[in-house]
Amino acid sequence: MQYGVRAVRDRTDAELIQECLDGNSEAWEVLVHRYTRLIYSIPFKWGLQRDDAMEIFQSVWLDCFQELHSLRDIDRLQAWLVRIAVRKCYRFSATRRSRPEDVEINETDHASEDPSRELVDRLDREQLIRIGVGKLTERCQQVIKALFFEDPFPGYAAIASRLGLSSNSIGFTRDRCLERLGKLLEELGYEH
Amino acid sequence: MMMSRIDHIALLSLFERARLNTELDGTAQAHLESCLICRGRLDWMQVATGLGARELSYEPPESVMEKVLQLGRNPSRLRQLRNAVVALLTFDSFKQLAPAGTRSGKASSRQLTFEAPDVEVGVLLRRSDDRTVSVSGQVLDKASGPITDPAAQVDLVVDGDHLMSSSLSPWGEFVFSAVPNGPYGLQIYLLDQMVEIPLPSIDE
Repeated sequence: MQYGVRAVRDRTDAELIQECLDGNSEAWEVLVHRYTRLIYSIPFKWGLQRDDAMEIFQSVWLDCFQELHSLRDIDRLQAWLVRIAVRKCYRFSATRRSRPEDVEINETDHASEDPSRELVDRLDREQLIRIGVGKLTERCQQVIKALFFEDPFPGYAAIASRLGLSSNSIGFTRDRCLERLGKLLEELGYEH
Repeated sequence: MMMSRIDHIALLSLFERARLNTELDGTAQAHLESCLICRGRLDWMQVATGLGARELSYEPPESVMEKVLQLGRNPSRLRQLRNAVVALLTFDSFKQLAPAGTRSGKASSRQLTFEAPDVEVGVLLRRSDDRTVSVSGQVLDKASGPITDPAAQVDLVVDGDHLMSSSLSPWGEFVFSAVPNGPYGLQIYLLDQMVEIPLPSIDE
């Protein structure tokens, strides 16, 4: 086996691309799942609607698939995917009469087809958090998602109840999960 | 680097402020300035908080995911991508000398021929109006004439962005109409390979 016993999902982007080109469908699935949320989030951050987001998402992956041979030597697949997604958002929004108000990406990000350095940095940091959360235990993932992503915040008593913990021990579990995520992010090279 | 218990408690306080998106008070700010670890951790906590509730909704519908995953489920197509070759330009009508007495000016068409292993591709760029062109062509097997691969496909590409696709007619023909004038690339998927063709602009 070319990459030893390491699970397919732990392989680098370059290894996965090479495996795709060798005809391994599983490698393609892992690659797509790795960047699904990142790519699908960009049109929404741009202020586009769900239908546009679905179209852009499919279109980015079609481009990626058809460019696999040229992406073999690329240093950062993530940056390439972001650039293609932003370019498509730019073209989509250019056809709209006005931009919706509920956007996370500011005016300077909309200024050109190529993403700004700030936007790329922010998306990089968000993606590292996704990867870090994905490496946590199932229990810690639930805690972190409840803390950061659930709206409204369910409260510590509800989180404890979901996890089958007493209200007294949820604080300790939370601290441990935050500590673990912090360490994982350091290992992943998260820079602030 | 290990954190002290005091740093840890201060960090949790910062976390709650990040989660609740409230301003840091003087004490918290002072602690933050002296605690490098806390500054780093507060940063990722704020980014995670910024992702917020939307993060859970950044999940494409199953039907969309299925279409994307389907792309990679054909091993022969994947291997086709591995065998990518760049075709060689063998003829360009712009490089031919104009016959004596012919005025030079804006040409209305440009004819090109490319060669790759086993195949020959003829391409015609024709000006539709001032802003658009049509790109048409024919893919031929060098030995046996028109390509007979029902799965063959031609893509019009600009800087990695796939704009349009066309299948080949039984005579190996393809056409892209009303394309904005500019330099493009063609990617032709046929048999066991993918042939790349860099196209010049009609004005170049």
